[in-house]
Amino acid sequence: MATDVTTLDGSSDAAPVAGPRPGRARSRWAAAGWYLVLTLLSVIVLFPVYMLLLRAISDPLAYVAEGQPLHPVAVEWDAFTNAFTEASLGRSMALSFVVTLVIVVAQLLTSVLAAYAFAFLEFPFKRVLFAVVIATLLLPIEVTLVANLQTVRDIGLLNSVPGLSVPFLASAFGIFLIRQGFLGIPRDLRDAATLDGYGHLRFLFRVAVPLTRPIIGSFVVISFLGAWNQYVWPRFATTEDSWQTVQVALRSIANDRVDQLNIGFAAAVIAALPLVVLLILFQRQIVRGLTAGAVKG
Amino acid sequence: MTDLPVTEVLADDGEPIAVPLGSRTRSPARRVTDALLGYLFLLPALVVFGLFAFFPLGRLVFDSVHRQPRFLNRPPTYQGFGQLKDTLTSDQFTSGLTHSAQFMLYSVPLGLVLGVLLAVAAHRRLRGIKVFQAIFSSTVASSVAVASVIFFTLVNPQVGYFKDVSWLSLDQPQSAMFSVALSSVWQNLGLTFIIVLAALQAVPEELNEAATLDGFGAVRRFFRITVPLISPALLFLAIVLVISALQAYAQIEVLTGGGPAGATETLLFKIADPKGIRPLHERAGLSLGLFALTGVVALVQYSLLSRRVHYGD
Amino acid sequence: MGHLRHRPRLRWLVGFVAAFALVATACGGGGSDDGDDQGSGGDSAGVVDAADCPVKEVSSSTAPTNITVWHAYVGLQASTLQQIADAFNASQDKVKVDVQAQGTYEELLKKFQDALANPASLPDLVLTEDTTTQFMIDSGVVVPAASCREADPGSDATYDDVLPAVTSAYTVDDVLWPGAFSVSMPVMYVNKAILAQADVPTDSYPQTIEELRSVAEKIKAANVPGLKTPLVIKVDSWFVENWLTGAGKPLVDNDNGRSGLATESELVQPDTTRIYEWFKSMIDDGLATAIPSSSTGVDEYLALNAKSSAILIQTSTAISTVAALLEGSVSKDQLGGVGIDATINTGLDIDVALQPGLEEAGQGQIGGSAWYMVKTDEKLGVPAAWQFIRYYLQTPNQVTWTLQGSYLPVLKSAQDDPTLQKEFTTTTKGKWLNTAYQGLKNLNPDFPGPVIGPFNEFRAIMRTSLDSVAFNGVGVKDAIKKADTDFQASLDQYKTDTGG
Repeated sequence: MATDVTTLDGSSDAAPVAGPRPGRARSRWAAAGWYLVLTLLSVIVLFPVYMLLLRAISDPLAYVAEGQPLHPVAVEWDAFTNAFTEASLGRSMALSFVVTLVIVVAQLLTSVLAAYAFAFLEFPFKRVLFAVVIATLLLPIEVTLVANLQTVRDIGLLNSVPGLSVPFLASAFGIFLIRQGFLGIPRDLRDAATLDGYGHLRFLFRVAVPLTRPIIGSFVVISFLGAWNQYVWPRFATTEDSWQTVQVALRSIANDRVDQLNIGFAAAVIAALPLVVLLILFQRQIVRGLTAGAVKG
Repeated sequence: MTDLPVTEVLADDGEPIAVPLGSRTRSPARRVTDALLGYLFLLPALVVFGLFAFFPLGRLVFDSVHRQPRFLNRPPTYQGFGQLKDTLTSDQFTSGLTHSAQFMLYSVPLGLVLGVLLAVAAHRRLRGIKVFQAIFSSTVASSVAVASVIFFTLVNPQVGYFKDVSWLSLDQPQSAMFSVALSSVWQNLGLTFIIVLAALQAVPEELNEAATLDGFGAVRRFFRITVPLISPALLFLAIVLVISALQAYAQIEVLTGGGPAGATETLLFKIADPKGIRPLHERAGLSLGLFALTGVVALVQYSLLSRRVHYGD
Repeated sequence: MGHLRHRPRLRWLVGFVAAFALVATACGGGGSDDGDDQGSGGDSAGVVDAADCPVKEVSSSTAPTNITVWHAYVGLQASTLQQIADAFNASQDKVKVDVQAQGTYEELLKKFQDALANPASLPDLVLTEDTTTQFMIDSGVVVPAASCREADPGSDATYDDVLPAVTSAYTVDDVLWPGAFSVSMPVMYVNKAILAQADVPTDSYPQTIEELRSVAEKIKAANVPGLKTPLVIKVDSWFVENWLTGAGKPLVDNDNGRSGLATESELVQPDTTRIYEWFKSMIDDGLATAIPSSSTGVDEYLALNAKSSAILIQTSTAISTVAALLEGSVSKDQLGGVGIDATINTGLDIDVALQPGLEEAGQGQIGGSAWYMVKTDEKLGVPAAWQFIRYYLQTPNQVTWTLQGSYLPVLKSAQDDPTLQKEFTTTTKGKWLNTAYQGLKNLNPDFPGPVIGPFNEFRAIMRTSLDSVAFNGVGVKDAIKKADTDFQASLDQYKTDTGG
C-alpha cells in the first residue's frame, strides 16, 4: 500500500514507500518527542554554520575580547564588502565560474558522445575501451597530481583557465551515467528512427538526448558541484594569487588575514552561496544523481 | 509503426545491449562508418584520459626511478627501481599510510552512524519533516574549503570556539586527526543523509508492519529488517566515504598544515607537499602507492558489491 | 641569526607593527679569506665575463628595458622597496622596474627553483636570503656582480664604499656574486632595570657566553619578582653558526665553502660541543627559557616585555618593532586580536648590546638578503638590473632603506649622512641601530661565515637537533652526531645534484 511519504528527489515511486506508522494513542507524545530530537539534531548540524555567520559579522578583536560568546559582538557588515574589495573575492569567484563552465560543458560533450558510442555503435575493442574508461576511476587527480603538474608546467599552462580545467574535460562517471540513460531508450523508438532515415547525429540530438534529459540534468549538476569544489588541482596548478579559484582563495584569505578573520569567514559564506542556491533549485536532480549508483528503486 | 522483426540481443555479460539502429541488418559499408563514428565520438574523451590519466601514470613511474637535481634546469638521472622500492618501504610511506588509515577510521564509521541516525530520525511522517530533511542534507552545499573554514572557527587553537576542548585540540596528534576527520564527517553528513534516506524510503512498509504484528520491537525491527535492506546503500556509502578520506586534503591544509609535527600528514598530504620539501621521486613513489591503495579499495568495492547483487539483495 | 621564517599566517605582525621585522635575517655567508675582491680578473672557473653585462647598450638603447624583481619583503620593507623602484623608474627612461612580492623567503626560493625549469619565467633580479649564495652560484643562471663591475669601472667608487665585511660575506672563490645587500646582525636586548636589581653592571655587557652565564646566574640569585628565567632563547641554527664563525671556526671544508664547493661537514668539533653544552646547561639550570624553533609566535619578545626574562638575543631588524612596543605605539588590542593575551608594558628600560660570542662580543656573520642578477631571455636584463642596483646603492636610498626598512647601512659614507646621524643619536631606535652598525663595522672581514649548498636543510637539521636537546632530553654528544650525519648526507646529495 503506497503511502505518500515525501521523498527528497520529489518523485513518487511506484514501489510502496515505507514510513513507520505512528501509533494512535501515543502519537502526540511520540511526535513531540521526535520534534525535539529532530530539533536537537538540527542544532548540531547547523551549529558550525551558525558560528561561521556569527563570526563573519562580529568584529574579530571584540569577539575574542568578550570571551567568544554565542551571540554576535560589535556587529559590522563590512566584512562582506571587504571580502570583495580587499580580498578580491569577486575575481576568484568569476574565475571559478569560468573554469567550472568550461569543465561542465566539456564533460557534457565528451560524455554524451562517448556514451552514445558505447550505447549505440559497434566497433572493434569496444569492451576494452569501455574498461579503459572505467579504469580512469582508479586515476583520480589526487593520484596523478604530481605528473599532471609537470605536464601543465611544461606546456606553460600554469596560471591559466586551460591549465585549471584541462585534467577534468572528460568524466568516466558521466560516460557511465549517460550510457545507462541511453540504454534505457526503447528499441522501438530506435528502429522507428532508423526507418525514418535518422542518422546517428540526428538521432543523438533529436531523440536520445531529449529523452535522457533528467539524467543528463543530474549529471550537469553533479559535474558543476565537483568542478566548483575542486581544491587540490587549482591549489597547485596556480602560483599567482590572482589566479586562485574561490576555494583556494578562501584558504589564503584566512591565512593572510589573521587579524581580520571576519573577512575570511564572510568570504566563506559568500563562496557557499552559489551552492546553496543550486541545492535549493536543483534538489531533485542532485538527489537523483547522488543516489543513482547507491539505491535500487 | 511498422512491424519489425525484433531480435532480443544479449551481450556476453548478460546485459542487454541496445542493438545499434538495426546493425544486424546494416550493410558492411554502414558498419564501417558506424565503427569510425564510434571511434570519433570516443576520441575526445580518450584523448583527455590518455593525456591526463594514463600518461601521468607512466610519468609517475619514470619520476619515481629517476632523480631530479634541485636545479631543475639539469636533467634527471636514472636510479633504478630500487629507489621506488625504497620510497614504498620508507617511513614517509608508512606514516602517510597510517595517517590516512587513522583518518578513515575516525571519519567513516562515525559518518555512517551519524548519517543513519539523521536519516532514521527524519524518515517519518510529521508535519514539516521536509524542513528537517532540508537541514540535514544542507551540508552538500558546503565545499571542502568552506567546511574547513567553518571548522577553523571551531577548533583553531587561537580563535576556535572549542579551542580548549582537549579531544579536539589541534596541538595533540590524535585529537588533531580527530578534529580534521570530524570536519570531513560534518561535510559528508548531507550526502550520507540523502543516500540513507533514499534507501530507507525504498524499504517496503509491509515488512515492517508484518514484523510489528509478529511482536518485533522497534530496535529489533531496525536491526533485523531495515539494516539488511539498506546495506547495499550503506556499503556504497562506506566506499564513497573511504575514497573521500583518501582524497582529503583541504581540511588538513587549512586546519593543521600537516601538524602537529606531521601527525596529520596523510598520504595525499605528503604527495601534495605544499611546503615543497619532498623530492620529486618521493612524491611520485608515494603517488604510485596511493594508486595501489585506490586499486585495493576499488577491488574490495567490486567484490563486495557484486556479491550483494548476486545474492539478490 | 634568528631565522624566523614564519608562515604567512604571521604576516599581520609585520604588517601593522612598523617593521616588526620577523623577517629575521639569517646570517649569511662571508667573503674570501684574503678579503680581496674581484674585479681584478680573478675569474675562478671563468664565470666573470664583462660581456654578460653590456651596460653601455642599455644607455644607448632606444626602447626602455623592462625588468622584473622578485623579493620576499613584507610590510614597511616591501613598500620602501616599491618606493625606491618608483623613484628609479621616474628618474630615467631606459629601465623600467616591476617589483613583485613572492611570499616568504622559502616561497621565493621555491618559485625561483621552479622557474629554473621554465626559463621564460625567470625574473631579472631576485632578492634572496643570504643562505642561498651557493645555490645561486650552482643554478647556472646568475651573472655575478663581478662581471658587471668589470664592465662598469665607474662602480668601483661605490663598492669601495661598501663595508668590507659585507662584500667579503658575499664573495666566493674571489668572485662577488650579488650586487646589493640588505644586512642585519644579531644583537642582545637587555632589560637594564632588572640587571641593576641584580647588581649587574650595565655599562659593559658580557663578552663571552660564559660571562653571559655568570650574569644570568647573578640575576637568578637576585630573585627578581616575576622573573621566570634571566634569558629567553628562540631555538635556531644561527646561534651555532654565529658563535663558530665569530671564533674563526669553519662549519664545512674548502675554507668554509669559500674556495670550492663545500662537501664535508665540520660540525663535530670542540666548540660545537661547548655551544651545545652551554645551551643545555642554561636550560637545565633554569637560566634560560627555550622557545621551540617551530613556534610561529613572538613569544620571545613577549617574554622580554612581560619581564619574565631580562635578556634576549635576536635580529637587529626587530629593533624598530621593539622600540615601538616600548614606546607604546603598538596597542594591546592589536596584539589581542590574534589570541595573544599580553599586556604590553611600555617604558621598560631596554638596551641593545652586541651579542656575546665564544671569544668576544660582536663577532659572527651577517644576515639578511642579497640581490642577484639573472640571465634571462631579455638580453639587456642583466645590465638593466645592474642600473637598478647602482641606484639602490646610492647613499640617499640607503639612508631611506635603513630608516624605514630597519636594515643596517652597508656604506661607510652612510655614517656621515646627517639624517642618519640624527637618528642614531637622538631616538631609541636609532641608538640601537647604531650599536648594531658599529658591530657591523668591526666585523672581521677575513672570516665571513660558511657558504653551504644545502643551507636551508642544514638549518632545519640544526633546529631539530637543538630542539631535541632542549625539549626531548637528547644528550649533547648524540644530538651533534646525528646532526653531523644528516648534514653530511645533505651535502652529499647536493654534490650529486651539481653533477659533481
